[in-house]
Amino acid sequence: MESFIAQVINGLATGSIYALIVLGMNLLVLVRDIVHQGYAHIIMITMAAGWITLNTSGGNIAMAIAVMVVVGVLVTMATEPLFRPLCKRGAQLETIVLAMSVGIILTEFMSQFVNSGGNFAFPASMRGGGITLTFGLIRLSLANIIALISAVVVALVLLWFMHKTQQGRAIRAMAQNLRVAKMLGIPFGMTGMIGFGIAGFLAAIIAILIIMTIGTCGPSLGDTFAVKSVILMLFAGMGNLKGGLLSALFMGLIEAMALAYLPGSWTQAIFYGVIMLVIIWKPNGLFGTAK
Amino acid sequence: MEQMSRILKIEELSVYYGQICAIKRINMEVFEGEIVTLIGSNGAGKSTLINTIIGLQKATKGKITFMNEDITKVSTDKVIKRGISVVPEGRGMLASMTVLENLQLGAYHKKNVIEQNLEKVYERFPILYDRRLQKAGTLSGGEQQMLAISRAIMGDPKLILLDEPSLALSPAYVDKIFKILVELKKEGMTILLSEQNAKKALQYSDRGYVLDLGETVLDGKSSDLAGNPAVRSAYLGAD
Repeated sequence: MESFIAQVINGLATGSIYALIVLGMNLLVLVRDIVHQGYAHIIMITMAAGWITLNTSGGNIAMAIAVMVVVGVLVTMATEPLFRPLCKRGAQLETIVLAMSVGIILTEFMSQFVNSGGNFAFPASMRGGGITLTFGLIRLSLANIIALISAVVVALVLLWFMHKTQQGRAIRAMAQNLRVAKMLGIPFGMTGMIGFGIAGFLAAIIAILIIMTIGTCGPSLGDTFAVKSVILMLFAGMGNLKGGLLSALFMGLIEAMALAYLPGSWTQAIFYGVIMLVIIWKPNGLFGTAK
Repeated sequence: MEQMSRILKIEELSVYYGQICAIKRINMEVFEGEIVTLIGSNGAGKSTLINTIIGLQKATKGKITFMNEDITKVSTDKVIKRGISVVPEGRGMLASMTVLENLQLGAYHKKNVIEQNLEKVYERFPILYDRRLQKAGTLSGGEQQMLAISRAIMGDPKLILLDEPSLALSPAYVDKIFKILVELKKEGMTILLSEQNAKKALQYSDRGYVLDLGETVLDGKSSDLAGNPAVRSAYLGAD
């Protein structure tokens, strides 16, 4: 039983990171109706910026975090003008190609210029010091607990922003009916930039949480997270913030359980098998779309 | 009319969709505190004209002046910020957002007046207060039109544009909607509406412009237009 509880917590911690990535990507679905799979690669670049800062500043964690926030926000916002003309003319397939291109370029950049394309590890000081907490017979990683709590807090703050502030309502209005949103005086360009800026800030938080829980990064990290995140968005329903959160947490649990209780490497098969069944039975995703 | 100040002036406005002319050299004026109606059948250019005034559609030629400022090339959000609001054709509900959220977004550029204007709206339409937490898409057609009009007045506009406000409404609601517009006029609002229901529009408005294939074919006092044999024959169902 103790092992089961520990697996649940670990599964939720993994799921919470996916949940935040899906949340960030769903935010971009709302502001520009795009599936920005390059978002996962921006998180990867943000982690790299943190690593470089740590190496060049003698391990200054505060400076690394500050640089990561700036890089996450700026790189995410820099991609908005790329998508804007395509969104204005209602192009959808082209935005997918554009997002893939952003991802590939960032991956190539990592391969060429960061640690000679090799994987790199973060110091233990940024990974919760490897501390484990013991509750009776249950042993939990402090980093996992912090990641889970942080993810829940960030998700709640973002949901509050989207539902309780005028800017959040404006983003949701744009997602629902762009023409009507414009008729209400909601500025297309500025509201999009705000959405991208928030997604960028979220990217920095996600990067920090990945550093805490996984502790390593490399050029393939973006692709790994991008594929799973896009699939989770489909699983939950494109643009559905709450659905994306719950689905990612659920799939994190499924993955952890498969890892703990099934023989061999069945984790991925179980993960994608569950998603396959949901996509077949619920074409609009488990929770439907936000539109 | 001479004492009233001009709020909107349209001069020689033409709009083309590619090679197709949607509006051809239209001239129009709207004065403060009046209800002006645009009459015309489908494709006459009424909606295009409204969309061009608010900058959703680019003008090919001509000039639009609002409150003595040229807004011909001003973006939609800035036009709305200057004091024009719109009730879109088909009501333009943000269907999965609540009634309250729709109203709050009506004052996107005037956050400081939201609370006091919400009170006024609820006083005018108590049903919207009862349904404030309901999704807008669950309201009846008439209630949605009330919400659309309320949303349009939330930001204290100087001019309200309504595109086919009586579309797909029951006769009882059509009368109700026009009476609301007259009330708004009495409160000092200026209204420009496009309408296929010419009979009702001319009954409740001060002046009108008759559009046909993108051109103004007639204009004048609504009572004169209602008595004009050509208008009666084409739009009022008279022989």
